[in-house]
Amino acid sequence: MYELSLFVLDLVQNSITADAKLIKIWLFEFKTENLVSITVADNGKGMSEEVITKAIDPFMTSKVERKKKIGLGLPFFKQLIESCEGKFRLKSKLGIGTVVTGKFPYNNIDQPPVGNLEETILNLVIANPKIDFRFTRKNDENNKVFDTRPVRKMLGDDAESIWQSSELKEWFRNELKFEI
Amino acid sequence: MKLDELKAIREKASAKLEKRNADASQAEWKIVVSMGTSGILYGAREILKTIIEEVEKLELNVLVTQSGSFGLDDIEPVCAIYHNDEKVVYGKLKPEMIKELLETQIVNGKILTSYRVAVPGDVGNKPASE
Repeated sequence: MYELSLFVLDLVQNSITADAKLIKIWLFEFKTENLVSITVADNGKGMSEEVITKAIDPFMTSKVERKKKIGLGLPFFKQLIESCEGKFRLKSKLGIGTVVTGKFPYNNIDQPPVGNLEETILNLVIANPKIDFRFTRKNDENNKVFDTRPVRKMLGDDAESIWQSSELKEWFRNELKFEI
Repeated sequence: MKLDELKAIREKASAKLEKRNADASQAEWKIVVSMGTSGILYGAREILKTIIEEVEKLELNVLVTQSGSFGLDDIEPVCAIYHNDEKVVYGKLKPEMIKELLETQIVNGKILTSYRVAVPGDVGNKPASE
């Protein structure tokens, strides 16, 4: 994968598959502290300690219906972070949720570009009317938070039915504009 | 956040939705894009984005969503179009195919055979167990 935003998409899909109702995403890019940090946290079903150790093994998946048990998402992300001289961390608790974090130096030459993260998040929000997202992006100058929970509250019972309307999509798009 | 704007959006979108729901021929369509690691590598993100855009342009009443890998990694990107309980799967998708796909399958109700993938359990195929 050639963009950080594609890794985020992959991690978020894991959260969706784990029946998460709220998915939080953080991207920090601090030049002054020489740090890039990317985190995806969810309140999905979580993993037992046994599964956590297997999760970063490329020959494992949680899917039971498939004969072929291969899942490369987390191993890919771990490999990327480690190739950028960074630190990968996976924390999970059954019934509570999962947090995946990658941190690496800002000035590392091996890091892929962030890519169009806002567009990726927009389409994630649109395509998952039942899931709430909170997205935080920070750098040395800016700090922006996007959260779908107040939107859902404001829309009330109509939220799910009009979630994919063009009007709401436009509103989400404007809210996701980051001047970074 | 400009939450006040949402009130107007809610009214406008609800009215439009009611109008679309009154047209029974459009009911109960769902498109699912396979968004596993291999799907993402082969461009599933752009496929999902294009489907959302084209559904909007054609003013279709379709739920567009994503799921984990279908297990059809050799023909990614893949999407499944559901009409009630009937399913048709399309593979090796490209963004420029999407318009034709939606017009053929959803607007005209025909299967676009050139991109269609026969999988167990879809339209015209009996489940593997039978």
